[in-house]
Amino acid sequence: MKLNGKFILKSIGGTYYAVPLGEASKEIKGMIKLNETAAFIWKMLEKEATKEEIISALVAEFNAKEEDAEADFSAFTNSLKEAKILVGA
Amino acid sequence: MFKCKIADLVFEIDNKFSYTENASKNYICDENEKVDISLSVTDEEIDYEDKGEGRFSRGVLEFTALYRKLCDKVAKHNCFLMHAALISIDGEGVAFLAPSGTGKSTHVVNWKNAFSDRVRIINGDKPLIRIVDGKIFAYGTPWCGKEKWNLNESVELKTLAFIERDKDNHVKEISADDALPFLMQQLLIPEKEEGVLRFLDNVNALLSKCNLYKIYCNTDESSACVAYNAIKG
Repeated sequence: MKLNGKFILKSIGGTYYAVPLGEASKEIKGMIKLNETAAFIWKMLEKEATKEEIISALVAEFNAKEEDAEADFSAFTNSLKEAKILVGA
Repeated sequence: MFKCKIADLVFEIDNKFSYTENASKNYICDENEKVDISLSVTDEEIDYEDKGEGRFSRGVLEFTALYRKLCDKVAKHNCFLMHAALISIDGEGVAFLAPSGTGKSTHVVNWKNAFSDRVRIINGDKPLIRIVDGKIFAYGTPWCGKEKWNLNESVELKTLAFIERDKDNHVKEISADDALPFLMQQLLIPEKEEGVLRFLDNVNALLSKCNLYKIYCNTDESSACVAYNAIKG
């Protein structure tokens, strides 16, 4: 799975935001605020990564339980899919 | 056609109507200054500002259209428009931000009345902000809102104060995170992709360098003292 490339991740005032660029900025008037976990997942998706790779990276980075990492991953990526920001299986 | 200097940039403006030149008379600069940016607008760009209302003369509409274009062209100089009332108090810049109609002008008048000569009202509505060597500067411009408050001066911007109307006067220091949504509403965001990235870096600089406050205030003159004590006290 991979991001659609219409957004850029930007740290503003210490918080990460996904900022729509070009045509996407006309459809979405605003920026998407991401928490630390979401920003971490976003950075991996920018480079293209599998579900398994991301979950194991989350477990390692945040010292999280695998089921928690999976729940966070699913919740975030489902919202991204709904918004058509994330494409591919 | 005339030359003027705004935000330390030299503009050569090719105007069709005299309104812009008259409004900019305090910003006219020497004929020999090297031009940074040339500006002119088409009839279509003037029509665009009218929005079918027919309220303003073509001279006024040209003036507005020129500013829209100016704001687009200054972006590469780390310069952008902030919808705010800009004052200096004891030589330090304070920008008051709020949606139109909240009472920025009323609050600024209260500051002027409370602190007289210590306060200079640099721009009532549309100052330019520029990041120079990591410092934030705010500049007066001929575009300034209905009170026509504008001084051809600049000041280092130290404080962003977001105004909200309330029954009682009180002030809260806020985080960059809290300030961002309010700030973005009062900035003109560039349309071009490369401009957006530079602009967001500038927004980041603004939020990290300036002190950030929410001022809850009524229209009483004492509101200025409450705000001053919180910001400067």
